[in-house]
Amino acid sequence: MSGKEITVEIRSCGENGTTSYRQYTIPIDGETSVLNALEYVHGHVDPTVSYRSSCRRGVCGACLMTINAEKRLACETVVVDGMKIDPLAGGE
Amino acid sequence: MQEHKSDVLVIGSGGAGMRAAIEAARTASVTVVSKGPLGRSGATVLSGADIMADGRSLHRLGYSDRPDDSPEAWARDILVEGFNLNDENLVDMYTRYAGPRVEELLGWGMSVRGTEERALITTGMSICAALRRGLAQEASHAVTRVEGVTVFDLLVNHGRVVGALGMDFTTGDYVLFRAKAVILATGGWHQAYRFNAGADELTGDGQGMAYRAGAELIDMEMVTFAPNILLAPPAHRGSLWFYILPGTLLNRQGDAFMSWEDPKVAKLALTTEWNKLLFSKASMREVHEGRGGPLGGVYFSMKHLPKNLFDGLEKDYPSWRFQGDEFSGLMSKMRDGYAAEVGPAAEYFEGGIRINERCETSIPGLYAAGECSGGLFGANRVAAATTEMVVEGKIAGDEAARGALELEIFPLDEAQLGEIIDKQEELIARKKGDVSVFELRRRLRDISYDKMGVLRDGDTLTAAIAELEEVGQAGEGLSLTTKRRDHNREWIEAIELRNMVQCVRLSALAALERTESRGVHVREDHPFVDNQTWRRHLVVQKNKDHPVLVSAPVVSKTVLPLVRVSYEESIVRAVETLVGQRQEET
Repeated sequence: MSGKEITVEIRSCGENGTTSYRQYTIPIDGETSVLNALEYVHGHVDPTVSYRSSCRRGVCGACLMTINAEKRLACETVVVDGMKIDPLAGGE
Repeated sequence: MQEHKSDVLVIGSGGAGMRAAIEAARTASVTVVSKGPLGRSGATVLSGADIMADGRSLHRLGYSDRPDDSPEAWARDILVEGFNLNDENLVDMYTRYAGPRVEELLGWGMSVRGTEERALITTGMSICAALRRGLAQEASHAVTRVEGVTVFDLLVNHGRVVGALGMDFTTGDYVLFRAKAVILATGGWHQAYRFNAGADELTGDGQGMAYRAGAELIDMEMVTFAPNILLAPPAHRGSLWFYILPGTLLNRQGDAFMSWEDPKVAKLALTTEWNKLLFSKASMREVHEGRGGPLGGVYFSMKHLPKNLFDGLEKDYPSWRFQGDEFSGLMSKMRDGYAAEVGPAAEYFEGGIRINERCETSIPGLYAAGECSGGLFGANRVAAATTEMVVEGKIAGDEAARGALELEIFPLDEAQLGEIIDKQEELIARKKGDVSVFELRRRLRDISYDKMGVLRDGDTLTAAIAELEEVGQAGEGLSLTTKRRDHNREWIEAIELRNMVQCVRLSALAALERTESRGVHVREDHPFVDNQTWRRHLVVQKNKDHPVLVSAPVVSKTVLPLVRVSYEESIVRAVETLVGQRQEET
């Protein structure tokens, strides 16, 4: 596995009810999911980045979100450089 | 504040919560609240395969080829599997009602992919779909569904449960639930372990809130680890995929370390869920003795399979393409002889909220069902947890509704409600702290996995308890970076952290106290089973702000010789007893 970095845009919430896209750089060790990338950003870079998750196996539907303008499950989508992710724009 | 008022409140919407809601709604009004998607979250959707009942009941349904079996014969086996720490009233309940619950799930459309003597092979998804159908057909009119709400705490007045308070993730608003009876169906505390096989929301919420409300917890030291869980690549961490595939476990030197001195133990290990205990223990011993991989695991290889046989497997395992091309990518590496790093992961919690055979807890009006309850499986679960959740769910729903009909909704203790809200408001208002929720969660997960995992000893447990104390204190003074109330994941994580720290701490205290080995509790410094001193439960309850452990007799009609035997010998004896019982029956 090679250590490399990718940059993604994630929509996050500001304090006053505003939302905006921000760029985040993520170290990638092998192939990983959008959900794991969000977890990395939330845990290590910006705790205000928020998302829903549950089964992590493509079964429950909790992490349905908008990824590159399509509704997709974050746990089943491989994260790639330049992706645009709106974690809270799901099925509801 | 949003308010929901009903006769019965069910917290959690996996199998136990769904089944409880169906039953309670036959005679009472019901609210079901769930952190995740209703009827699709919790442990149930991910559960692998089987749901169990005695052979006679399954034969009557047209499945098992073992009509000579009985609930009583099955119960005898469960006591042996649980190293006789099971509450026999709960075992009787479990074995007696398993058949009717399975029959009912079949009526609601549960699929059957295969059969065994005491089990139907199905999927967690199919069980969930059957329960959703059951709810829609039989009880929909009386059930209010509340999704995406995390419950913080139970509301108690004059010693009786009167409701619960939660928070809506989407809005950040408080949600008040008022009810005459509350059923906890929240599952285990999987996420407290670095490696675990549970869904994200399994954070010991039910055990935590029951403990804070003053309920008794039981057998908290008993934790089952499933072996062969994928540790890498990150996208698949926690997957049980290799647990079900044929393969060989290797250490870093490439040696196949599983060895079977006793052929009967080998058979058991290879054909039943006893494999969890036996493989996990052997894997961790390799790691502890320095022969593990960089992630703290061992290696799983399928290299022994000729390529044509490997390719043939794909037909037997329909989820081969599961997770798309990525998973197939791993499998093609496996076909070429790659060894994947795997290890034991926290998978099932035998201990939990103490219940009786009516699923009543020690607090009036509070019931518990499924994995969050404790006492049924004793020191080692081999029989199906899916059966547990529907058997207990039905009973809890029935009892809670019956209890509720005789009562009015109790007034709230406004002071308690105020305190709970103040605590949450402090968490949000507090200026920046030294440590993040994420960092504390990481520390907790490392302590749990490294210091109170498959193999335990007194010194390490003592160190774990001290570290857990620190994490708990840091958690009390936590401040959130995210100050907005809606969509605040950090806030939910802080709530979950408190519950997980409490569960793990109680588990560690009980594990330290139990100076013997039994079932899944393996003390390297006390490598024997001591029936004279320790065929007793450890029950824990809050006294002021401190946990108090007491030992309590096991509810049992089974008399055991009061001897000490080595732990290894206890497994051989258990296996021999099971084989003997099987021969008697046929």
